Amino acid sequence: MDLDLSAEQHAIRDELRAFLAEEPGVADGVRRFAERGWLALAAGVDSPRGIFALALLFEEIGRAAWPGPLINGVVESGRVVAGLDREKCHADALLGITSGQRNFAFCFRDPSGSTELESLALRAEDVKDGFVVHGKAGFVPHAQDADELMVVARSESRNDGVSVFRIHARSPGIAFESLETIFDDESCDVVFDDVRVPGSGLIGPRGGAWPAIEDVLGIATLARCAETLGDAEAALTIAVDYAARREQFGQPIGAFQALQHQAADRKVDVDACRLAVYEAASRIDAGLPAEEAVASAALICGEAAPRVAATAHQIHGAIGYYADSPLEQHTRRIQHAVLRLGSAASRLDRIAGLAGL
Amino acid sequence: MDFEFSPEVEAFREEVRAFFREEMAPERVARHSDPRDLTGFDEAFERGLVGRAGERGYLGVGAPVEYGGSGLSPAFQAVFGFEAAYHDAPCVDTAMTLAGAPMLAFGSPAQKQHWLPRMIGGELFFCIGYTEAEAGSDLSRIAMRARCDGDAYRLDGTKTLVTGAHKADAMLLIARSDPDTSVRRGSSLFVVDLCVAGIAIERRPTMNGWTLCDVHFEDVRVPSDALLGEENRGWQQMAAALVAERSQLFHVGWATRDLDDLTAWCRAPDPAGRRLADDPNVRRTLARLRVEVGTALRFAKRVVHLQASGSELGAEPAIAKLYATELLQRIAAEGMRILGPAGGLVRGSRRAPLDGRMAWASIERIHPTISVGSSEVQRTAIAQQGLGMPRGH
Repeated sequence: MDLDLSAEQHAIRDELRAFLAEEPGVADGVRRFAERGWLALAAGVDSPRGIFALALLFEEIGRAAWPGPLINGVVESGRVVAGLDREKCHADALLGITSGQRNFAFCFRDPSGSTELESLALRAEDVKDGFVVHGKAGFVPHAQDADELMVVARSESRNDGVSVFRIHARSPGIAFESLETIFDDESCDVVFDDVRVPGSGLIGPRGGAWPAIEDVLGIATLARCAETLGDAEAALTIAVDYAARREQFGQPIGAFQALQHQAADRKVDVDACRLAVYEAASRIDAGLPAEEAVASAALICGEAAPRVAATAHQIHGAIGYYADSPLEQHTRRIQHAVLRLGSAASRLDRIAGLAGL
Repeated sequence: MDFEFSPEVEAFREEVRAFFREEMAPERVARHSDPRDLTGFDEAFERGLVGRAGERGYLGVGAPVEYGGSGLSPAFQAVFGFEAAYHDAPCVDTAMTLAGAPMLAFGSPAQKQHWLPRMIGGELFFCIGYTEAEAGSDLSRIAMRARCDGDAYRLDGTKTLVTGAHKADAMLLIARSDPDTSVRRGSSLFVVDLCVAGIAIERRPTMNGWTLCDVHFEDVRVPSDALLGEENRGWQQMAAALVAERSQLFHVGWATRDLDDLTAWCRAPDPAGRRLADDPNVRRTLARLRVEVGTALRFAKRVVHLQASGSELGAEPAIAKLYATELLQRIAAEGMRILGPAGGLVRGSRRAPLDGRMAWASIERIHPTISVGSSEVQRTAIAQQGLGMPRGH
């Protein structure tokens, strides 16, 4: 048992923290993440650093509230290719992703937002020299910035008979319907109206993509947990710092027990998130079964982070409600992540299933 | 980063499990029930079991070799605590877990030679005398007096809410040795043989039928070598001893056992073939508690890791204690909700599910969030030490 970060992991964290403290924009950040090999790590190629480093990356992204769409565009899109493309027919896609030169959007959720396989609303049918894709994907972040779409569609009648296709974002039959949300993820519903895909657009085995997709969704979930942990840590730190400076009734408000005990509970929350994320990442890197650990981390982060955001606002009082409050972005990001992490009921059902309850 | 205990620790765990499975076998414990003791067992049984655990080297597995310990990492001690708790064995509040740390830290060579081998060997039972009627969470209000009298001290006062004093051989206590200054500057720790004249022990029943003790000292003469550590440094030493307290893995042992038993009960089909766990609400409740036990375990492991690596402890033990003890209450409460009216049936009662364990737990798990630093004391420590929040007026 060793719960310390290694010297290398400390260095990774310091490097990321210093870089993100410069508050790079999305394009600039992507370019520089690519140069430093972080996109290759996120996409799961050519990196000995492993999932723990991925968790550190996203924890720091959350802490800095950096807005880039790396989970969808790099972790999900990249890892699906890395996991499925054994023949290296799509090396150009991976190169585009890891170099930051080509944007991908991973289209998997159905318009209701579900990630259950049963509700997958995209279908692919055979035609001469390729496929036709039909249906709708929902809540695809930054879809209109994408050069290509990485599309999961059902290609066989059996439930898990799904395939992955890469489709040029400007192909005839594709329409983007913007969704206006309280988040700044510029998400869209993407409509596929009999979109023709050449045979070369299929990635990996036809109808056999599900196991790889499931693995990728697990890693993406963990990345999202780590990001949420970072946001929650930042929100708590901001609130505690504020409470040390703000004086009312003749003392810093942080000296009032009513605030201290709430903050203490949120410290417990943040530490619970961190240990859950780190244990799940460690298990994956050690080759141990990790599905339950990832599902637990998702449950814990999905419930704890919103509590942290709410307490951070309560500690700030009205000043925290201004749009220029440093809390603002973390709160939105946490709410966004929680929706993406899925319902507590679905997580609990998964954990119950894995535990044989 | 690695959250797994080492193979050596896991092998030790297996050995300890086998030991407890045999020692705590239903036919062996059957005639030794004693509901008036916190452990649920009579003293003869406890002394026998603790003695055998001591012979095997379990009680001092983390203590130095020169006093009969095994000198192994704190992980071994923590895992022993987990397994003892999991098996409901009366091996949690041992002399070493209660008083080992301050004895090792502050005892003179002669005191250590006198006490530690028998503490580690399981021959002595200890109790702790910090709390008094007016000094619960606020230990600065202790009033017990220790007057220097030549080559002895004379103790006067009453210690309250003492666990296990009725069977203990010795008490580690704090008393005011200099009444002219503050408690912080004028208190001392003593290790007192409870056989000396002038000590009266009064047992008072708790909500769950076992007893806590009031221990009255009336002009009790103890030799000067009962003083532990430095005179008038007792407050600082007590604070250090409380920080060095246990990893809380034993709380996780109890939580794991409560939940395992509840889960097994919910999964077992009734005569009509129905299982409580087929209700999605029950299933999700069990899954959530399972996740929470996982969190409690990680918090406790973090303390063990810090102890093992010799790192300074901050708010981590407080977080582990707060979380695990509140979780114990949630498990009992959810268990009662799941079981419905039958949940209230006590051990031995006809139709009692889980042999009344949830009914017992729903009363028993009230006190861990209060004893050894209430949840409120822990939260204040987490805020001030863990988050650096300021002290108020």
